[in-house]
Amino acid sequence: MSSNTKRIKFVSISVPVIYGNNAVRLSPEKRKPNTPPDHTHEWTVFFKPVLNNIDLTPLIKKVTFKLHETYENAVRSVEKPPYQVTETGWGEFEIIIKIHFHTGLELGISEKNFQIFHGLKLHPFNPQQPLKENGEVNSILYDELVFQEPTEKVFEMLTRKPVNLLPYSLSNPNNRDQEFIRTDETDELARLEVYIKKIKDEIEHQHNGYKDLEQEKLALLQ
Amino acid sequence: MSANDILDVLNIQRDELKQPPKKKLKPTADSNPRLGMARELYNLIGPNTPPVNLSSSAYNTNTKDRFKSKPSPWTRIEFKPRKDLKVNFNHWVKGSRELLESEEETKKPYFFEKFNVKLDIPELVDEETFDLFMKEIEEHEKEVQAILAQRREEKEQARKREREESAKLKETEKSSDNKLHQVKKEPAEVPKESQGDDKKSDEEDSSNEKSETKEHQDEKKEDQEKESEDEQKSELGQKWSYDETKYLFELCSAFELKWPIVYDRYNWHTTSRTLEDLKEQFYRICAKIFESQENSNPALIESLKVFSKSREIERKNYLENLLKRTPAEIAEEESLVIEARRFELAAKKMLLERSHLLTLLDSPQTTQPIQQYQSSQGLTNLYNNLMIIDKHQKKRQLQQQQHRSIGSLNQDPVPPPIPIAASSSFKKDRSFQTHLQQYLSGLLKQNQIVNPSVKQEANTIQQLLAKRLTQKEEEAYGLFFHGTEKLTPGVILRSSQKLPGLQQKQSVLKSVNSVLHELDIPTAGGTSWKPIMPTRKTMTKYDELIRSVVALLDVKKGKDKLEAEIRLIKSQRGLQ
Amino acid sequence: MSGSNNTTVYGGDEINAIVLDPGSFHTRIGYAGDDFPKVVTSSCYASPTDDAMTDSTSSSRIFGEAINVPRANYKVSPILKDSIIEDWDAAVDQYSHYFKTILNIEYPEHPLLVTEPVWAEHSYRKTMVENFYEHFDFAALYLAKAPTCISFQQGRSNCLVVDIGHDSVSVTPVIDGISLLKNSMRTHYAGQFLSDQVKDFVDSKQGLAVQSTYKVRSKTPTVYPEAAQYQERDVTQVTTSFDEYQQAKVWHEFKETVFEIPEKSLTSPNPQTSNLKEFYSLEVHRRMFEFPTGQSVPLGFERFQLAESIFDPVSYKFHTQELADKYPANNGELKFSNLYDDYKPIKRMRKAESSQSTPTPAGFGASTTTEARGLSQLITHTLSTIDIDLRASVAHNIIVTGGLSLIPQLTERLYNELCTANPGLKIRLHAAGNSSERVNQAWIGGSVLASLGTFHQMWVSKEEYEEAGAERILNQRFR
Repeated sequence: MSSNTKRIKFVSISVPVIYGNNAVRLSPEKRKPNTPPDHTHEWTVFFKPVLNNIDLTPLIKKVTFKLHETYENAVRSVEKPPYQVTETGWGEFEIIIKIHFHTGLELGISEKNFQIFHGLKLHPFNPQQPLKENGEVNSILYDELVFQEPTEKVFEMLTRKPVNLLPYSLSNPNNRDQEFIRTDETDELARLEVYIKKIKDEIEHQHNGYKDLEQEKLALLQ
Repeated sequence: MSANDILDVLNIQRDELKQPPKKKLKPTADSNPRLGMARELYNLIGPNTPPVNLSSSAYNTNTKDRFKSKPSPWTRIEFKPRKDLKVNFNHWVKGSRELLESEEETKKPYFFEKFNVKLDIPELVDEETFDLFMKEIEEHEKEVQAILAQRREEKEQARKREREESAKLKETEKSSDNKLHQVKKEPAEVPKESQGDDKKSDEEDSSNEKSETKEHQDEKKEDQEKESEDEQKSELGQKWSYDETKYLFELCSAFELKWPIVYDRYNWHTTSRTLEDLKEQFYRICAKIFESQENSNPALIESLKVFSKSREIERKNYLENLLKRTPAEIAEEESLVIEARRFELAAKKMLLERSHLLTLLDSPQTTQPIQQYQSSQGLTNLYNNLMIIDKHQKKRQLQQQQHRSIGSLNQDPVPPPIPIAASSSFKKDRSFQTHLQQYLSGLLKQNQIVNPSVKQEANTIQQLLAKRLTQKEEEAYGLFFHGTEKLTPGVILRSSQKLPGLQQKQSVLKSVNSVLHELDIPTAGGTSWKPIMPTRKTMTKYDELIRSVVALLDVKKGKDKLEAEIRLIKSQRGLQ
Repeated sequence: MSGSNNTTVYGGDEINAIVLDPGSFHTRIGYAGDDFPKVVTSSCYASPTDDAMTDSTSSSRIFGEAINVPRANYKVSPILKDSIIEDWDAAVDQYSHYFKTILNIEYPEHPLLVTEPVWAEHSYRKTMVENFYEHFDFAALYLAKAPTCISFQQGRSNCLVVDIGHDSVSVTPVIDGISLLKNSMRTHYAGQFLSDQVKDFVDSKQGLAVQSTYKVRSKTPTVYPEAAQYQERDVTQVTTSFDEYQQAKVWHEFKETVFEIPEKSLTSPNPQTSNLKEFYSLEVHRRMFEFPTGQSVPLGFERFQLAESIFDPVSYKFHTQELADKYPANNGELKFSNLYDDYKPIKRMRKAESSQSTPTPAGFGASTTTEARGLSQLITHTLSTIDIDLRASVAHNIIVTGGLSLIPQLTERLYNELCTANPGLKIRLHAAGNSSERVNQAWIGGSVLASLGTFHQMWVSKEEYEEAGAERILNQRFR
């Protein structure tokens, strides 16, 4: 029992996850009989850890996807991985992905199961962009679950296997916009570094200007 | 003033009938017939004298007494300020003539005679002894010169040898060994020669030179060369004659050894002496005189001999230069002194840190002699030994952990954290622990102390620690040791993590937003700034970015303010 | 015995000595132990020109204030030059006049202390000793160096005495009460020099009528450049020396009332000098000096310019060649003759010889550095020759004395210049505040010295002199 209450301070464990949706235009074949005729796309919204072999079941009780109210059973709840919902529709709306953790874990958020807001994307960003054949559109975002001051149990669960690994290469070159790999992170870092340098240069520049102005002011005052 | 007095003054007759019969008190008023001021005073006060007894000041009584008593007689008397003075002076002395001219008084010496002090200077001996002394001094100096001449020769020889050597070295390639051997030869040769010299001279302070290095010897030779040159000159130029020395001694006793005055009044017809010359001769002769005397003070003789003319001259030159420093130089010197002190402190600190490090590294016991480790072979041996010891330690620890998992005694399996610098190859060497692991192991220890029954959690941590992750592997696990940062317990989404850099006012945030737009930095839409791929690293980087943008804004603001001020001043001045 | 009251405090023991301090301008005579000399007279005498040649009997010489009465055919001659008695007959005459007639002393009852300058030569000292012993019947005699007396008066044993007098400016270090002869320096850019400058300046101004007071019977005040309006007195054939003597009084008054030392050097090659000239030409610095003829001259910048010569002797260029020749460039170094014989020491004296034997007229291209030393350069040079061990204590006790030092702002200017020239030393100037004290300082020092109980062993009695002779006395006793 004490293991559940004891928290390891100053430690955090992060698990990279991926979520989003992909959507395809409905081709006539795919249409099912009960699909309303104005549904143009079929889409799937999902939430999963980046590495497929990580099992978050001991931690996650269920994941709920709250769809637009026009859908019946707007709140779709998934208790087992893969956490995803596939539907058809015509419009883009916001889906609320809520993650419910096991209560016994005392993760501190027994009420506050947090939510991710994801805008469902059916149409491509850039109209000029060459479309894929099937009109497939992906909107996938990367994020990390950070367990801060985990309890011993959580700690144990998460340290059985390294969880923070990201693949180094794409599993499928075509899925560029579906997957995140380690190099993305490094690229991002590099980019940020460039920006930071830019800003720091600018600061330097401004600072010098400031000094000159100070001199000017002193000269004027004398 | 009494009533009667007033009436008298106003010339009014008393009407005696109207007055009531006075009670006639026995008049005690007439006890002290007071004179003058006292009478008036007491009449003012009235018949009742105040209870305070006014004591008259000494001044009062003195003058009063002086008036009454006779003044003491003063006599104009002859005296001799000095016994051998032939003239008599007269002065006034208190006392009657009979008193002063009594036998005892005339025998008493003049009061100020005790101030006629004379210094205790040895008298110059007669001429023969003097000549003897001077001879001794001359001989001594000749010896010194001879030694110095020898040394000069040696020095030149050494120089020649050096030149030859350097020529050789340039030709041959085997430089280091030859040099070593030759350098060893040189100091070996020279001490031999100086040993021979030492036997000759008595009072040379060259006994140190046997152990000196070549360079130091050279320096000394140079100094003594100069000395010998000076002395040569002095010897050649002006020898001290007996008469001159006698004159010197006279002056010294007359002016009580005050050298500036002696020098000022020194006028000997054949020579011109500097102050140091005079001092030197005087001290030399005095030393000789004391030596020849029987009961002499050896300390005094030593101190007389210590005087070195050249050093005196040098010292005075130094002082002169000191005085001649310009204020700029003085300031420069002071700053140099301060810097030197700083360096000293820094050096001390460094030494301290070094010693700390050394104690830290000092794991092998030095009870055994360390000579075996001084060669390169010995070092490798030592290294191997340490590695073996380390491996043994690890083995032991693993075994202990396994024992514990079975349920054996709770022993502390965790080795003390070794600093990174001390471990040889820390990547492969699993005894290296990251900060996290250190923390965890510390935690383990605490747990065991606090709650020995907790085994379950211990297992997880121990298992983790058993894996002995490297830094990278830790990252792979997603573990991060936050140090002292405050963490809210719970789960958050990285993207929703509030960046500390974003703790700004709304207005600031807006401007940050616009700046980022200008610079084409993606802000992932709206007010939620986060990088595209929010990992821990990128978040921190992003945070840095935001912070720097805020800093930039501040600088810009300050600059604009200054500009405005300048414009204001300009407009003011322009209008003026 | 003598351990009562005052003696233990200051160690004094009165024996009624007489102190005689002959100077180029004034001679002072008085009793030892007094604050001020009883007699202060000018060191000149008046005598009729007729019998000046052979034996001028003492009855015909006139001393003191009586000189100033205009008499026919009486010339006025000085007794001393450069503080050295030149005219011994007159000197003896003067002293006996004062001793006997004025002070009425009995010689055998008193010892006599005479001050002498530092640069007194051996022969002069011998003459002094002989004369004083022969002509006067004093019980004992002592020759004291003037700077020694001054150091005693001020109560400082290590000091540097700067005596700015009439004929000479001298700088002498005194160590433990004994004057150092080899390090002393002396120039003639002193009171007489300034008087001549004033005369030259006044002569150069046309329209200035210069007449001594005695010649003026009545006058009406005018202001230069108006002509003077006065009536002359008909004075019976006075000699030129008398006239000059009287004129010198006018210059003296001029110096005393009008001179002021400028704050900074007026001749330094500084862009500020032109400012200084303007500054000193302002109204505030203008004074009027009234000549005996009633004519007043406004003086502004000239006051400072003339006074500046103390610090920069070549700044003022004489108009008359004669005067220029009178003052050759003098860098202050003294030439000493040996006690025993005439050997001249090798060091240092070459320059002095050359500059004194071939006089270069001041103001004709002479550099100011080594050839003609002003006051502060003199002092600085002296300081640099003093032994390094003593220098600090001497620099801390610099005594400024002499009549000319009373010119306003002199001590301030001197202090500033010394501090800039000697940054390493802590300079401290002492100057007596009381003006008459400053003029008579040497005499007062002699008075202090002659009344000290411990001094009485130093007196040399007449019998000793007769036994030993002047030579030995000088060498043994009056060191």
